[in-house]
Amino acid sequence: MTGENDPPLGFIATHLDAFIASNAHRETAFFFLGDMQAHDQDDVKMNWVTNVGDVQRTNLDEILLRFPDPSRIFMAPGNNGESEFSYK
Amino acid sequence: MCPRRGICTATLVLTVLVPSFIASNAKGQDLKRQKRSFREIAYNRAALHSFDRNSDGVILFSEAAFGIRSHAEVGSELDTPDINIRTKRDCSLVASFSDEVSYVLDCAADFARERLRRGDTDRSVLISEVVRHFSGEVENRDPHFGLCENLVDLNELPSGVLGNSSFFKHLPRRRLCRTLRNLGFCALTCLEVDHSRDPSPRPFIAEAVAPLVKNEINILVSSDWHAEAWYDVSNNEGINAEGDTRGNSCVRGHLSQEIDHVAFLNFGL
Repeated sequence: MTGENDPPLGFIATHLDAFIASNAHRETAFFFLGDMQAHDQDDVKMNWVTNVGDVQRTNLDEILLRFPDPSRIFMAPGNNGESEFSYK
Repeated sequence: MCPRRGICTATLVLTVLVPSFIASNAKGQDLKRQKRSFREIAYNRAALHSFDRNSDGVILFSEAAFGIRSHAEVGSELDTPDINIRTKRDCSLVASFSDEVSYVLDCAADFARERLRRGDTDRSVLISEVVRHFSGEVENRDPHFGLCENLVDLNELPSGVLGNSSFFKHLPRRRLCRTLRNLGFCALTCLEVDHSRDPSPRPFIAEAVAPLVKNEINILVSSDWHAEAWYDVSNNEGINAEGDTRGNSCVRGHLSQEIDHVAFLNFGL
């Protein structure tokens, strides 16, 4: 996490919380359909080599806080799952 | 799902389904109506195909998650008239193998699940391991390369998917990884989509998930946990967004929305 195009953690946390709160005492599962990384990262403005992992780690932490059973977490890849500059 | 870039599974669908559809329709039908019908047929058939990936007649959660992802993109592209294909060859190559991408990354999730089943419940260790498999070694300075290498090395790919592909089987692993990346695996891009014309995939997704939620398991479907390119959090005249300054005056966020038992956030094709 660098402060440069970090993920909108406020949105992420609140929508996770809202879902859990509205489904108390029910079985839940989580589908993440991809695209966890900021667009237009590059190696000059931020260290995306470490930032990619930091963002994933932070978001996985948020997910596991609300969905502690990993057998109910399903993650699909997206075209912005990594830094888009890293394959240019 | 990026509004400006998406994988092009539509190409594959078109190749397979166009001949049979045309043959089954009477001549002289209104072209526009035919085009619309084709879209609907292709959409439904493709949905069936991608959801039940192992063709065992049962849609697993993992199959549903990946199917939703790929079909939201297929649906968007079929209904988007102004698709600007950067290179047709690249696009067709990516489309040909795009069905396999989900399995590649699913190995990382399976890895995490397996660790927990074995009793490795230290969350910090688990996350560290998963991130390593997602991101590769830091010193490599190439996360994609590490990602591909680690995932391929997991050797957990289902039979009939990556390992048995005639295209890949003769390639050494290191070259295989590079080839995968060049083809678009791990970071796919081949289309420019007119975001303003993208239809919402939500009705289809709600329909697709409905059989699952009947089992009283409520599913949160979410994606795109990133700032838009022009969402400049540091308010510095777009220096981190290639000079695009829209973020200075407008902080963009997608609304969370619940449809029946399914909640969506940032499902922005």
